[in-house]
Amino acid sequence: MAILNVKDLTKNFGGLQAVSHVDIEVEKGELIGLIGPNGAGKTTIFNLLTGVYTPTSGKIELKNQETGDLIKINGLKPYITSSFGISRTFQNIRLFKELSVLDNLRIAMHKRCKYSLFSAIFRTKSYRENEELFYENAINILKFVGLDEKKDELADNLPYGEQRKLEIARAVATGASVVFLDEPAAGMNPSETEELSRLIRDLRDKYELTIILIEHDMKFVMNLCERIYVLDFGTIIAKGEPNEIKNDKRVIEAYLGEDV
Amino acid sequence: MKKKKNIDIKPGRVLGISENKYDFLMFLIVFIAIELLMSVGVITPFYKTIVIKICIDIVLALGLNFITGITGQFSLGHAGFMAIGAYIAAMLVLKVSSSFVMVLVGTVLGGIAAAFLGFLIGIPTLRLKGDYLAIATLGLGEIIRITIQNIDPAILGGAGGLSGIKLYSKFEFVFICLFITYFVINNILKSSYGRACVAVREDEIAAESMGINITKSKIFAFVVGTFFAGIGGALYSGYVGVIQPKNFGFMKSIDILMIVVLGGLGNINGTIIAAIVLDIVSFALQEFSELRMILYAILLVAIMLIKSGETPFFVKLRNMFSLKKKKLGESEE
Ligand SMILES: Nc1ncnc2c1ncn2[C@@H]1O[C@H](COP(=O)(O)OP(=O)(O)OP(=O)(O)O)[C@@H](O)[C@H]1O
Ligand SMILES: [Mg+2]
Repeated sequence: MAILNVKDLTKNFGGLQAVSHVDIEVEKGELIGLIGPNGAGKTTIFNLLTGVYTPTSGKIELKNQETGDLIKINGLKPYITSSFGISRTFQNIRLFKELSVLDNLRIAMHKRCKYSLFSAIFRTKSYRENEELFYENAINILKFVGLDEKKDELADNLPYGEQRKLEIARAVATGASVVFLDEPAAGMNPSETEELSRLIRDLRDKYELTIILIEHDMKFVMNLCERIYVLDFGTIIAKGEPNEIKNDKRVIEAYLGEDV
Repeated sequence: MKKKKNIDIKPGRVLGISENKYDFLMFLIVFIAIELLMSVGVITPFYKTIVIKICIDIVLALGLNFITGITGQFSLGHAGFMAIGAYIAAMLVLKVSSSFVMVLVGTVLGGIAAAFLGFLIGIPTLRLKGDYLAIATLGLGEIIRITIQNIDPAILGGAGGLSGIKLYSKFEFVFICLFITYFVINNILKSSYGRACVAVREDEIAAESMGINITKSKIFAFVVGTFFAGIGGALYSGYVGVIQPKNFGFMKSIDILMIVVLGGLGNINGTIIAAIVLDIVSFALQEFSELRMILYAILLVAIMLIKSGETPFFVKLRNMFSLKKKKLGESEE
């Protein structure tokens, strides 16, 4: 059964229908690509799925990892969808710039904070144990993405590629099961992109994630993603495996002139 | 033996935070030093009142710093919450008993009442952002003041206020309150609760997407900040002995805000230093109170021009000058 089930999702901005009647079904552990020309509505879909926007109509259902039943999550605020295991990165990196790399990750673990305010003020055992856990967890993720040596650096001082990586690490640190990556390879050079490709796959395997990503770099998407949805003017015009997408007439038309 | 794990609990960029063991020692040293200087007579009774005033202002400013500096919510109503604490403590000490226990109860209750009001008011107002929030909190502070002024004078003394309050804000008591404030705020900042507040200041959208209930964090910050406003107010009552609604006007909020801005938004130690500097300056200029307002105006303009942000204003100024020297020496450009 699908972990994420999107039915007939529509979003209007005034007269503009940015997303119209979109159906998406994602199985647990899949690596899905969402592609489409500029302004197709990709980011808007992410914003709808994470709760930043409320859908005009349609249904978004997420499978609860523990109980296995479907929860309707449309219209819920981002911090609530986050507690159901959804996490994301942003097209224009949104790190906590003035904070250390380590703190960026620890903030993402806030909802797993088990100690009370009283414990925090008096540094009780539960505070220390919980903070130790946060620390270890953060360091593990940082090691995995190769940023552990920069844990004390300000996020803002990292080079661009590493900021992208940190944002992914932060999304993973929330303990999410479904992660949305909005153009993770944007602004990276080919070797960085290749490394990122490996990293995303490894993260998926290690943390048992389901990943849906938006990307304009076709080579990246075709190599990495197992299934692809193509969006144009707010509607899904094609879906399938990379090979099918590459040869789809409507996709080629939508990308007219672009190298698919 | 299990090795003690070295967990790193300092929050990244809340400047001016140090480890607790040293904090305690520092406070103890300062306390003993001031006590000594007082007993020797270097700190005369007049200077002693300045020291107490500084301590009270630090409590107030650390509270506002939590709201405005650390959580990024601009509040101009701090004096209103201070008034709540001041009146509750004063009433209890005046009408019930002037024992130390009552002073203690009054101070704590003053803090709790202010925090409770902060909670109630925070729910609707903290949905506002930036300038709107500033105006709303400014209005609320004034509403509190005017309400107190218009309650039956037989109860709260009306515009004339309350007088004859026992001067219970002795140096020792005030200093201990200051230490507690510092201790509590520091430890909150080193916890997930404090980090959530900083995250809200940094980027609300990102914070919310990472699972932080931003409304809750803002209200939490407001409750913490107004709690210490109430405590500061209670200490203020026992410091001046006479309180009137006009002491808690808009200008008082600005006074406290000046300390926070000068000390560097979010900077704990900067706030303390700024309180010391500003209080000494305003005592020195006591006879020319108009001059103080001009000084504030100049400082505010300077702050806007220099944009010191989180770095204390003085440090920023110093850096600017030392930077210039360096540049000349290096002949880079
Ligand atoms: N908050 C908003 N208010 C009004 N219009 C919006 C809003 N957000 C997005 N849009 C519009 O919706 C359409 C889809 O935008 P979206 O950002 O989802 O595109 P995208 O597929 O992510 O494009 P890109 O590849 O350039 O990032 C665009 O026409 C955009 O102008
Ligand atoms: Mg986009």
